[in-house]
Amino acid sequence: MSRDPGEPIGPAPAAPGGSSDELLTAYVDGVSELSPADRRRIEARLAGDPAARAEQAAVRTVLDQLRSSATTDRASGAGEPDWAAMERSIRRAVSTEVPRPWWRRWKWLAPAATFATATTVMVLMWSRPTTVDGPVVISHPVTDRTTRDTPPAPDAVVPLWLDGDEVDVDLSAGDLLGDPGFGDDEPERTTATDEVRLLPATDLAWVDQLDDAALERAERWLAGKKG
Amino acid sequence: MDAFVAGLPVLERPTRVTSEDPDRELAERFQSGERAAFDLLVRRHQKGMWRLVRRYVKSDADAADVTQLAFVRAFRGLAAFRGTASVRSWLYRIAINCALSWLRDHRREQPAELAEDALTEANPAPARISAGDDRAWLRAAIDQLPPKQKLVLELRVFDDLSFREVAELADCSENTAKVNFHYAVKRLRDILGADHES
Repeated sequence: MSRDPGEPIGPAPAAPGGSSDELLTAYVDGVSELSPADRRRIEARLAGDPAARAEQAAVRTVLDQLRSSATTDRASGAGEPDWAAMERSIRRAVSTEVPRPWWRRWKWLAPAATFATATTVMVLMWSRPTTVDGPVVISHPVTDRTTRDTPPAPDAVVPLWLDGDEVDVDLSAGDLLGDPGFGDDEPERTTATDEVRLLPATDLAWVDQLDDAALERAERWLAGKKG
Repeated sequence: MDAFVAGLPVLERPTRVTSEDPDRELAERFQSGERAAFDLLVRRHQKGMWRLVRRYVKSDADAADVTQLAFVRAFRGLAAFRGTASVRSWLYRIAINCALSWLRDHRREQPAELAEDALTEANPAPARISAGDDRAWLRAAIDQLPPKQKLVLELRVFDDLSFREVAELADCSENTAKVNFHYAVKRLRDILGADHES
Protein backbone atom coordinates (compact mmCIF):
# COMPACT_ATOMS: atom_id res chain seq x y z
CA MET A 1 0.00 0.00 0.00
CA SER A 2 2.62 2.50 1.02
CA ARG A 3 4.29 4.14 -1.91
CA ASP A 4 7.33 4.98 0.15
CA PRO A 5 8.32 2.23 2.58
CA GLY A 6 11.15 4.34 3.90
CA GLU A 7 8.82 7.13 4.88
CA PRO A 8 9.01 8.20 8.54
CA ILE A 9 6.22 6.46 10.36
CA GLY A 10 5.40 8.79 13.16
CA PRO A 11 6.28 11.87 15.05
CA ALA A 12 8.80 10.05 17.20
CA PRO A 13 11.15 7.29 16.09
CA ALA A 14 10.28 3.99 17.68
CA ALA A 15 12.61 1.78 19.62
CA PRO A 16 13.29 -1.55 17.91
CA GLY A 17 10.65 -3.34 19.86
CA GLY A 18 8.62 -0.28 20.80
CA SER A 19 8.71 1.34 24.23
CA SER A 20 6.09 0.44 26.79
CA ASP A 21 4.42 3.78 26.00
CA GLU A 22 4.31 3.04 22.32
CA LEU A 23 2.97 -0.46 22.81
CA LEU A 24 0.35 0.59 25.34
CA THR A 25 -2.32 1.19 22.70
CA ALA A 26 -1.69 -2.20 21.12
CA TYR A 27 -1.93 -3.68 24.61
CA VAL A 28 -5.30 -2.07 25.18
CA ASP A 29 -6.62 -3.04 21.75
CA GLY A 30 -5.34 -6.59 21.59
CA VAL A 31 -3.33 -7.89 24.47
CA SER A 32 -3.09 -11.32 22.89
CA GLU A 33 -1.10 -9.91 20.00
CA LEU A 34 1.76 -8.77 22.20
CA SER A 35 4.70 -10.96 23.02
CA PRO A 36 4.83 -12.24 26.59
CA ALA A 37 7.85 -10.04 27.27
CA ASP A 38 6.12 -6.88 25.99
CA ARG A 39 3.00 -7.77 27.92
CA ARG A 40 4.93 -8.21 31.18
CA ARG A 41 6.76 -4.94 30.57
CA ILE A 42 3.54 -2.98 30.07
CA GLU A 43 1.76 -4.65 32.96
CA ALA A 44 4.65 -3.79 35.25
CA ARG A 45 4.46 -0.22 34.06
CA LEU A 46 0.71 -0.04 34.58
CA ALA A 47 0.99 -1.59 38.02
CA GLY A 48 3.40 1.03 39.25
CA ASP A 49 2.42 4.15 37.34
CA PRO A 50 -0.94 5.90 37.84
CA ALA A 51 -0.27 8.14 34.83
CA ALA A 52 0.07 5.07 32.64
CA ARG A 53 -3.25 3.77 33.91
CA ALA A 54 -4.86 7.12 33.09
CA GLU A 55 -3.35 6.91 29.64
CA GLN A 56 -4.72 3.41 29.31
CA ALA A 57 -8.23 4.63 30.15
CA ALA A 58 -7.99 7.50 27.68
CA VAL A 59 -6.82 5.17 24.92
CA ARG A 60 -9.66 2.81 25.69
CA THR A 61 -12.17 5.65 25.34
CA VAL A 62 -10.92 6.64 21.91
CA LEU A 63 -10.77 3.05 20.72
CA ASP A 64 -14.30 2.43 21.93
CA GLN A 65 -15.45 5.46 19.95
CA LEU A 66 -13.65 4.23 16.84
CA ARG A 67 -14.98 0.72 17.10
CA SER A 68 -18.45 1.94 17.78
CA SER A 69 -18.26 4.03 14.64
CA ALA A 70 -16.98 1.09 12.60
CA THR A 71 -19.70 -1.17 13.95
CA THR A 72 -22.37 1.37 13.15
CA ASP A 73 -21.04 1.75 9.62
CA ARG A 74 -21.16 -1.98 9.09
CA ALA A 75 -24.57 -2.38 10.65
CA SER A 76 -26.11 0.35 8.57
CA GLY A 77 -25.11 -1.38 5.37
CA ALA A 78 -25.66 1.88 3.57
CA GLY A 79 -24.76 1.71 -0.08
CA GLU A 80 -23.72 -1.92 0.09
CA PRO A 81 -24.23 -3.89 -3.09
CA ASP A 82 -26.32 -7.01 -3.45
CA TRP A 83 -23.79 -9.55 -2.20
CA ALA A 84 -25.42 -12.53 -3.85
CA ALA A 85 -25.44 -10.68 -7.16
CA MET A 86 -21.80 -9.81 -6.72
CA GLU A 87 -20.96 -13.45 -6.06
CA ARG A 88 -22.74 -14.50 -9.22
CA SER A 89 -21.05 -11.76 -11.17
CA ILE A 90 -17.62 -12.82 -9.97
CA ARG A 91 -18.39 -16.46 -10.73
CA ARG A 92 -19.35 -15.53 -14.28
CA ALA A 93 -16.26 -13.37 -14.72
CA VAL A 94 -13.78 -16.08 -13.84
CA SER A 95 -13.01 -19.35 -15.51
CA THR A 96 -14.80 -22.53 -14.58
CA GLU A 97 -11.46 -24.24 -14.26
CA VAL A 98 -8.80 -23.53 -11.71
CA PRO A 99 -5.90 -21.79 -13.41
CA ARG A 100 -2.50 -23.29 -12.84
CA PRO A 101 0.75 -21.37 -12.52
CA TRP A 102 3.22 -21.87 -15.36
CA TRP A 103 5.57 -23.95 -13.26
CA ARG A 104 2.75 -26.32 -12.48
CA ARG A 105 1.64 -26.46 -16.10
CA TRP A 106 5.14 -27.64 -17.03
CA LYS A 107 5.54 -29.96 -14.08
CA TRP A 108 5.13 -32.99 -16.32
CA LEU A 109 8.28 -31.95 -18.16
CA ALA A 110 10.70 -33.24 -15.50
CA PRO A 111 9.56 -36.89 -15.50
CA ALA A 112 9.12 -36.81 -19.27
CA ALA A 113 12.67 -35.53 -19.77
CA THR A 114 13.99 -38.13 -17.35
CA PHE A 115 12.16 -40.90 -19.17
CA ALA A 116 13.38 -39.69 -22.57
CA THR A 117 16.97 -39.50 -21.34
CA ALA A 118 16.81 -42.96 -19.81
CA THR A 119 15.29 -44.38 -22.99
CA THR A 120 17.97 -42.79 -25.14
CA VAL A 121 20.76 -44.14 -22.94
CA MET A 122 19.28 -47.63 -23.00
CA VAL A 123 18.86 -47.60 -26.80
CA LEU A 124 22.45 -46.45 -27.24
CA MET A 125 23.73 -49.15 -24.91
CA TRP A 126 21.80 -51.90 -26.67
CA SER A 127 22.81 -50.76 -30.14
CA ARG A 128 26.54 -51.29 -29.33
CA PRO A 129 27.07 -55.09 -29.42
CA THR A 130 29.35 -56.60 -26.84
CA THR A 131 28.99 -60.10 -28.28
CA VAL A 132 28.25 -60.95 -31.87
CA ASP A 133 26.67 -64.08 -33.20
CA GLY A 134 28.54 -65.54 -36.12
CA PRO A 135 32.06 -64.41 -36.92
CA VAL A 136 34.29 -63.93 -33.93
CA VAL A 137 35.66 -60.43 -33.67
CA ILE A 138 39.12 -59.97 -32.30
CA SER A 139 40.43 -56.59 -31.68
CA HIS A 140 44.01 -55.86 -32.61
CA PRO A 141 45.08 -52.44 -31.49
CA VAL A 142 47.42 -50.73 -33.89
CA THR A 143 49.90 -50.17 -31.10
CA ASP A 144 50.24 -53.92 -30.64
CA ARG A 145 51.16 -54.32 -34.24
CA THR A 146 53.80 -51.67 -34.08
CA THR A 147 55.36 -53.19 -30.99
CA ARG A 148 55.41 -56.56 -32.67
CA ASP A 149 57.08 -54.89 -35.63
CA THR A 150 54.76 -56.54 -38.08
CA PRO A 151 52.86 -54.81 -40.84
CA PRO A 152 49.24 -54.05 -40.09
CA ALA A 153 46.90 -56.77 -41.18
CA PRO A 154 45.17 -56.04 -44.44
CA ASP A 155 41.48 -55.75 -44.51
CA ALA A 156 40.79 -59.18 -45.94
CA VAL A 157 43.89 -61.01 -44.79
CA VAL A 158 43.37 -63.39 -41.94
CA PRO A 159 45.89 -65.41 -40.05
CA LEU A 160 45.28 -69.14 -40.08
CA TRP A 161 47.14 -71.66 -38.07
CA LEU A 162 47.95 -74.40 -40.48
CA ASP A 163 50.36 -77.25 -40.06
CA GLY A 164 52.06 -75.70 -37.06
CA ASP A 165 52.62 -72.31 -38.67
CA GLU A 166 50.67 -69.08 -38.86
CA VAL A 167 49.64 -68.33 -42.40
CA ASP A 168 47.98 -65.20 -43.68
CA VAL A 169 45.11 -65.92 -46.03
CA ASP A 170 43.72 -63.27 -48.33
CA LEU A 171 39.93 -63.60 -48.15
CA SER A 172 39.32 -60.81 -50.59
CA ALA A 173 40.67 -62.98 -53.34
CA GLY A 174 37.24 -64.59 -53.61
CA ASP A 175 37.29 -68.32 -53.95
CA LEU A 176 40.74 -69.15 -52.66
CA LEU A 177 40.92 -72.47 -54.27
CA GLY A 178 39.53 -71.19 -57.52
CA ASP A 179 41.72 -68.13 -57.53
CA PRO A 180 44.27 -68.37 -60.28
CA GLY A 181 46.69 -66.48 -58.13
CA PHE A 182 46.33 -68.89 -55.27
CA GLY A 183 49.75 -70.07 -54.38
CA ASP A 184 51.45 -67.21 -56.14
CA ASP A 185 53.69 -65.01 -54.10
CA GLU A 186 51.74 -61.87 -54.55
CA PRO A 187 52.68 -58.98 -52.30
CA GLU A 188 50.34 -58.78 -49.38
CA ARG A 189 47.95 -55.85 -49.26
CA THR A 190 48.48 -53.96 -46.11
CA THR A 191 45.39 -51.92 -45.48
CA ALA A 192 45.38 -50.64 -41.94
CA THR A 193 42.54 -51.87 -39.80
CA ASP A 194 41.79 -52.44 -36.20
CA GLU A 195 39.83 -55.58 -36.65
CA VAL A 196 40.60 -58.77 -38.40
CA ARG A 197 37.91 -61.28 -39.00
CA LEU A 198 38.64 -64.95 -38.52
CA LEU A 199 36.76 -67.58 -40.36
CA PRO A 200 34.14 -68.97 -38.11
CA ALA A 201 34.52 -72.56 -37.10
CA THR A 202 31.32 -73.49 -38.85
CA ASP A 203 32.67 -72.17 -42.13
CA LEU A 204 35.56 -74.61 -42.08
CA ALA A 205 33.27 -77.36 -43.32
CA TRP A 206 34.36 -76.49 -46.83
CA VAL A 207 37.72 -78.08 -46.04
CA ASP A 208 36.05 -81.47 -45.89
CA GLN A 209 34.51 -80.88 -49.27
CA LEU A 210 37.80 -80.28 -51.05
CA ASP A 211 38.74 -82.78 -53.70
CA ASP A 212 42.18 -84.30 -54.00
CA ALA A 213 43.32 -81.87 -56.66
CA ALA A 214 42.43 -78.90 -54.57
CA LEU A 215 44.14 -80.35 -51.54
CA GLU A 216 47.20 -81.00 -53.59
CA ARG A 217 47.23 -77.43 -54.82
CA ALA A 218 46.84 -76.20 -51.27
CA GLU A 219 49.69 -78.29 -50.02
CA ARG A 220 51.87 -76.98 -52.81
CA TRP A 221 50.90 -73.45 -51.92
CA LEU A 222 51.72 -74.11 -48.29
CA ALA A 223 55.02 -75.62 -49.16
CA GLY A 224 55.76 -72.55 -51.20
CA LYS A 225 54.86 -70.37 -48.26
CA LYS A 226 57.08 -72.34 -45.93
CA GLY A 227 59.91 -72.45 -48.37
CA MET B 1 -3.03 -4.28 42.20
CA ASP B 2 -6.43 -5.94 42.26
CA ALA B 3 -8.04 -2.81 40.94
CA PHE B 4 -5.48 -2.71 38.21
CA VAL B 5 -6.01 -6.35 37.27
CA ALA B 6 -9.75 -5.81 37.17
CA GLY B 7 -9.24 -3.12 34.57
CA LEU B 8 -6.99 -5.19 32.33
CA PRO B 9 -8.17 -5.70 28.78
CA VAL B 10 -7.42 -9.38 28.96
CA LEU B 11 -8.35 -11.12 25.72
CA GLU B 12 -11.02 -8.63 24.93
CA ARG B 13 -11.16 -9.71 21.34
CA PRO B 14 -10.41 -13.43 21.29
CA THR B 15 -11.99 -13.96 17.88
CA ARG B 16 -9.14 -12.32 16.00
CA VAL B 17 -6.92 -15.03 14.60
CA THR B 18 -3.28 -14.17 14.68
CA SER B 19 -1.34 -17.41 14.50
CA GLU B 20 -3.36 -19.53 12.10
CA ASP B 21 -4.92 -18.46 8.86
CA PRO B 22 -8.51 -19.70 8.61
CA ASP B 23 -8.44 -19.19 4.83
CA ARG B 24 -5.35 -21.24 4.19
CA GLU B 25 -7.30 -24.44 3.85
CA LEU B 26 -9.55 -22.90 1.21
CA ALA B 27 -6.54 -21.63 -0.71
CA GLU B 28 -4.98 -25.08 -0.65
CA ARG B 29 -8.20 -26.71 -1.78
CA PHE B 30 -8.38 -24.25 -4.66
CA GLN B 31 -4.78 -24.94 -5.59
CA SER B 32 -5.51 -28.63 -5.68
CA GLY B 33 -8.24 -27.99 -8.23
CA GLU B 34 -11.38 -27.38 -6.19
CA ARG B 35 -12.98 -24.45 -7.93
CA ALA B 36 -15.75 -24.08 -5.34
CA ALA B 37 -13.22 -23.14 -2.66
CA PHE B 38 -12.82 -19.79 -4.36
CA ASP B 39 -16.55 -19.11 -4.10
CA LEU B 40 -16.27 -19.59 -0.36
CA LEU B 41 -13.41 -17.11 -0.22
CA VAL B 42 -15.51 -14.61 -2.14
CA ARG B 43 -18.43 -15.08 0.22
CA ARG B 44 -16.17 -14.67 3.21
CA HIS B 45 -14.30 -11.56 2.10
CA GLN B 46 -16.40 -9.63 -0.35
CA LYS B 47 -17.88 -7.35 2.30
CA GLY B 48 -14.54 -6.54 3.85
CA MET B 49 -12.94 -5.92 0.48
CA TRP B 50 -15.80 -3.73 -0.64
CA ARG B 51 -15.57 -1.62 2.54
CA LEU B 52 -11.82 -1.30 2.07
CA VAL B 53 -12.18 -0.29 -1.58
CA ARG B 54 -15.01 2.06 -0.69
CA ARG B 55 -12.61 4.17 1.36
CA TYR B 56 -10.62 4.80 -1.81
CA VAL B 57 -13.36 4.90 -4.42
CA LYS B 58 -16.02 7.37 -3.49
CA SER B 59 -18.90 5.63 -5.16
CA ASP B 60 -20.69 2.51 -3.99
CA ALA B 61 -21.16 1.13 -7.49
CA ASP B 62 -17.55 1.82 -8.48
CA ALA B 63 -16.39 0.15 -5.30
CA ALA B 64 -18.40 -2.93 -6.26
CA ASP B 65 -16.80 -2.96 -9.72
CA VAL B 66 -13.31 -2.61 -8.28
CA THR B 67 -14.02 -5.36 -5.74
CA GLN B 68 -15.14 -7.68 -8.50
CA LEU B 69 -12.02 -6.88 -10.50
CA ALA B 70 -9.90 -7.61 -7.44
CA PHE B 71 -11.52 -11.02 -7.06
CA VAL B 72 -10.96 -11.82 -10.72
CA ARG B 73 -7.28 -11.00 -10.28
CA ALA B 74 -7.18 -13.04 -7.11
CA PHE B 75 -8.69 -15.99 -8.97
CA ARG B 76 -5.90 -15.84 -11.53
CA GLY B 77 -3.19 -15.49 -8.91
CA LEU B 78 -4.38 -17.76 -6.15
CA ALA B 79 -2.91 -20.87 -7.76
CA ALA B 80 0.53 -19.32 -7.32
CA PHE B 81 -0.14 -18.01 -3.81
CA ARG B 82 2.72 -19.24 -1.64
CA GLY B 83 1.33 -18.41 1.75
CA THR B 84 3.96 -15.95 2.94
CA ALA B 85 1.12 -13.68 4.06
CA SER B 86 -2.38 -14.47 5.23
CA VAL B 87 -4.91 -15.02 2.47
CA ARG B 88 -6.96 -12.11 3.75
CA SER B 89 -4.12 -9.62 3.67
CA TRP B 90 -3.14 -10.97 0.24
CA LEU B 91 -6.70 -10.35 -1.01
CA TYR B 92 -6.78 -6.92 0.59
CA ARG B 93 -3.49 -6.04 -1.05
CA ILE B 94 -4.96 -6.91 -4.43
CA ALA B 95 -8.03 -4.83 -3.61
CA ILE B 96 -5.90 -1.82 -2.66
CA ASN B 97 -3.84 -2.16 -5.84
CA CYS B 98 -7.01 -2.37 -7.94
CA ALA B 99 -8.44 0.67 -6.16
CA LEU B 100 -5.30 2.71 -6.75
CA SER B 101 -5.23 1.62 -10.36
CA TRP B 102 -8.87 2.58 -10.75
CA LEU B 103 -8.17 5.99 -9.22
CA ARG B 104 -5.33 6.54 -11.67
CA ASP B 105 -7.58 5.64 -14.59
CA HIS B 106 -10.40 7.87 -13.35
CA ARG B 107 -8.36 10.73 -11.96
CA ARG B 108 -10.15 13.31 -14.07
CA GLU B 109 -13.53 12.08 -13.00
CA GLN B 110 -12.69 12.30 -9.30
CA PRO B 111 -12.97 15.52 -7.32
CA ALA B 112 -9.57 16.92 -6.49
CA GLU B 113 -9.58 15.78 -2.89
CA LEU B 114 -10.67 12.27 -3.88
CA ALA B 115 -7.79 11.47 -6.16
CA GLU B 116 -5.22 8.76 -5.54
CA ASP B 117 -4.06 10.25 -2.29
CA ALA B 118 -7.53 10.28 -0.85
CA LEU B 119 -6.77 7.62 1.70
CA THR B 120 -3.27 8.53 2.66
CA GLU B 121 -3.22 12.30 2.84
CA ALA B 122 -4.87 14.74 5.12
CA ASN B 123 -8.23 15.07 3.55
CA PRO B 124 -11.03 16.44 5.63
CA ALA B 125 -14.37 15.93 4.00
CA PRO B 126 -16.44 19.02 4.81
CA ALA B 127 -19.55 17.66 3.15
CA ARG B 128 -19.55 14.76 5.51
CA ILE B 129 -19.00 16.61 8.73
CA SER B 130 -21.61 19.22 7.93
CA ALA B 131 -24.23 16.79 9.15
CA GLY B 132 -22.66 17.13 12.55
CA ASP B 133 -22.98 13.53 13.58
CA ASP B 134 -20.28 11.90 15.63
CA ARG B 135 -19.20 9.48 12.95
CA ALA B 136 -18.56 12.15 10.40
CA TRP B 137 -16.69 14.16 12.98
CA LEU B 138 -14.55 11.15 13.82
CA ARG B 139 -14.02 10.48 10.13
CA ALA B 140 -12.79 14.01 9.61
CA ALA B 141 -10.38 13.62 12.49
CA ILE B 142 -9.01 10.40 11.02
CA ASP B 143 -8.49 12.14 7.71
CA GLN B 144 -6.12 14.55 9.41
CA LEU B 145 -3.72 11.80 10.45
CA PRO B 146 -0.40 11.31 8.64
CA PRO B 147 -0.75 8.78 5.82
CA LYS B 148 0.89 5.80 7.43
CA GLN B 149 -0.83 6.26 10.78
CA LYS B 150 -4.15 6.67 9.06
CA LEU B 151 -3.63 3.53 7.03
CA VAL B 152 -2.67 1.47 10.07
CA LEU B 153 -5.56 2.81 12.13
CA GLU B 154 -8.14 2.15 9.44
CA LEU B 155 -6.91 -1.33 8.68
CA ARG B 156 -6.92 -2.14 12.35
CA VAL B 157 -10.22 -0.54 13.40
CA PHE B 158 -12.41 -0.57 10.29
CA ASP B 159 -11.11 -3.72 8.62
CA ASP B 160 -10.52 -5.53 11.89
CA LEU B 161 -7.14 -6.91 10.83
CA SER B 162 -4.56 -8.33 13.18
CA PHE B 163 -1.38 -6.32 13.68
CA ARG B 164 0.43 -8.92 11.63
CA GLU B 165 -1.93 -8.41 8.69
CA VAL B 166 -1.77 -4.66 9.09
CA ALA B 167 2.01 -4.90 8.93
CA GLU B 168 1.82 -7.02 5.77
CA LEU B 169 -0.36 -4.43 4.07
CA ALA B 170 1.55 -1.42 5.34
CA ASP B 171 4.95 -2.85 4.39
CA CYS B 172 6.37 -2.67 7.88
CA SER B 173 7.12 -4.87 10.84
CA GLU B 174 4.45 -5.89 13.28
CA ASN B 175 5.98 -3.77 16.02
CA THR B 176 6.15 -0.79 13.73
CA ALA B 177 2.45 -1.25 13.00
CA LYS B 178 1.75 -1.28 16.75
CA VAL B 179 3.80 1.86 17.27
CA ASN B 180 2.05 3.60 14.37
CA PHE B 181 -1.27 2.59 15.83
CA HIS B 182 -0.27 4.10 19.15
CA TYR B 183 0.67 7.43 17.59
CA ALA B 184 -2.47 7.43 15.45
CA VAL B 185 -4.70 7.02 18.48
CA LYS B 186 -2.68 9.55 20.45
CA ARG B 187 -2.95 12.10 17.66
CA LEU B 188 -6.62 11.38 17.22
CA ARG B 189 -7.12 12.10 20.89
CA ASP B 190 -5.37 15.39 20.47
CA ILE B 191 -7.46 16.31 17.44
CA LEU B 192 -10.72 15.30 19.05
CA GLY B 193 -9.75 17.02 22.31
CA ALA B 194 -8.90 20.23 20.47
CA ASP B 195 -12.16 20.06 18.54
CA HIS B 196 -14.08 19.58 21.76
CA GLU B 197 -12.36 22.55 23.34
CA SER B 198 -13.02 24.76 20.34
